[in-house]
Amino acid sequence: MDKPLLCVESLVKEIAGQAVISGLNITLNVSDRTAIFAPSGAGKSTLVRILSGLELPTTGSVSIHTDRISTQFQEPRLFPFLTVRQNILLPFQAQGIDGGAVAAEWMREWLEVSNMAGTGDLYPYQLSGGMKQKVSFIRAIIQRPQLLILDEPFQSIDMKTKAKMARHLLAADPEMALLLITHLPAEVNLLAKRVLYFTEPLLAQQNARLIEEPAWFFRDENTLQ
Amino acid sequence: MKRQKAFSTPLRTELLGFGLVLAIWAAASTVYPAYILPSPTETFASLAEYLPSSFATQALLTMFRLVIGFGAALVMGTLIGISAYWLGIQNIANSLMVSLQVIPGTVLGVIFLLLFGLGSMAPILLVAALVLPTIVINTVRGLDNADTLLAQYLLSVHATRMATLRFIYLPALVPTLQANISLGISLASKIVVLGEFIGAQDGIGYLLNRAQITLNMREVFFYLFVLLAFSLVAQAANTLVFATIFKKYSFTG
Repeated sequence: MDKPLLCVESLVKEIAGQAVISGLNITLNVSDRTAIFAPSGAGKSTLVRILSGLELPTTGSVSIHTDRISTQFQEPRLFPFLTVRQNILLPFQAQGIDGGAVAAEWMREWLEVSNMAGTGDLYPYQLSGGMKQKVSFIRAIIQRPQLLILDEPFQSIDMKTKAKMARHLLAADPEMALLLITHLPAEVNLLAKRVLYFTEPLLAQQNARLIEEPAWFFRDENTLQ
Repeated sequence: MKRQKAFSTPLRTELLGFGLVLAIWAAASTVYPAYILPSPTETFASLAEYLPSSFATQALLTMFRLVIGFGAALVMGTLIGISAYWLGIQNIANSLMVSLQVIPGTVLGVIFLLLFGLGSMAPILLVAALVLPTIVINTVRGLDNADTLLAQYLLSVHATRMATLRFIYLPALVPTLQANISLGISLASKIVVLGEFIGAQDGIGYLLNRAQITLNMREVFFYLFVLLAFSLVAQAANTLVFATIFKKYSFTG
């Protein structure tokens, strides 16, 4: 059997002596789509930074067995002096490779799906918050990663467009493994096959409840109260 | 239409500043006698009496020394600042530049005069040496302000070092470069005069020195006016370039 794309084992992260992640385990294989559902301040973004190689864990290990990994951060992180088109194609340019016509066509298709056709030449300051989020999302998937990490990807985007984008992603790349960080049940239902559900504001293994049928679990938002 | 506006706005601002200086000068000249502070009208009306026939050549010579000295300081200062940041020795570079700033211009001017004799070399080197610390310090500070969130993003996509330089550090330098040019030109205008006082027998600094020895204040004020005019034109050009060519770097996310 192939190695999992992502394997997080006994991950601990302490900031100023305070644990923000404690003994966390996550395994993601090809085509797995897992959501981490936790309240604000639970260390979700810290986890994203660790998985993206921006921070080291205090103890534990993170193994990633693919080069094709991409992260969409919570903030859009668009380059203000680049147009929408340039921002989306930036991963290619940053790595010194040519995306070519295939990437250009993939971008065009995604701009259309996201109701952003015709905005390619706009700069970030000319976009609304939701539009920036869409650009950030398209940039994260433009290289068709094998492992995609999404941190609150659909903020300020209307439900209808979210659903359209999620459907398009799943149809276009069914093999893509996905780790979705969110606090919105609707987003879990759109993208995830299973959920690590945390009730306490700490990503600790003992606080996690694995839910294999999120669509059923989150059918009623009152469940979360 | 937009390009026309980008051109007219900095020009209008500088003209306004220029007019304001003239107005203050005219107002102040009503308080003091003409042998201390002549009015702008008196200064310009009697140009033929004191202006040397070689004035245009001398003015061009001063501009040449200023531009070369300042250009060298800008290029060297920016490169030193970037290198110091890249090598992680910002604090050492900063201390060194602060120490350089303490050396009085007159002392450096005399050293350059002794080393290179009378001519263009002493004023040019003096401008370069005295402007350089400001440029280095500002460049390091500008790089310190590079956007860390965007830098982290590039790190997450395994960007090359060249891409990091191009998309993070060079854009962070744009506002610093504009400030350096603006500040540096004003500073260089004063220093070139000092350099020509000490180490040259031509140029506006030399003429200014000669005029103040003979207490010809109309001539003194005319040369100051020329320096001011040059500085304002340079500032307008600086604003114009950054409002057009580098405009996108002033956009906020």
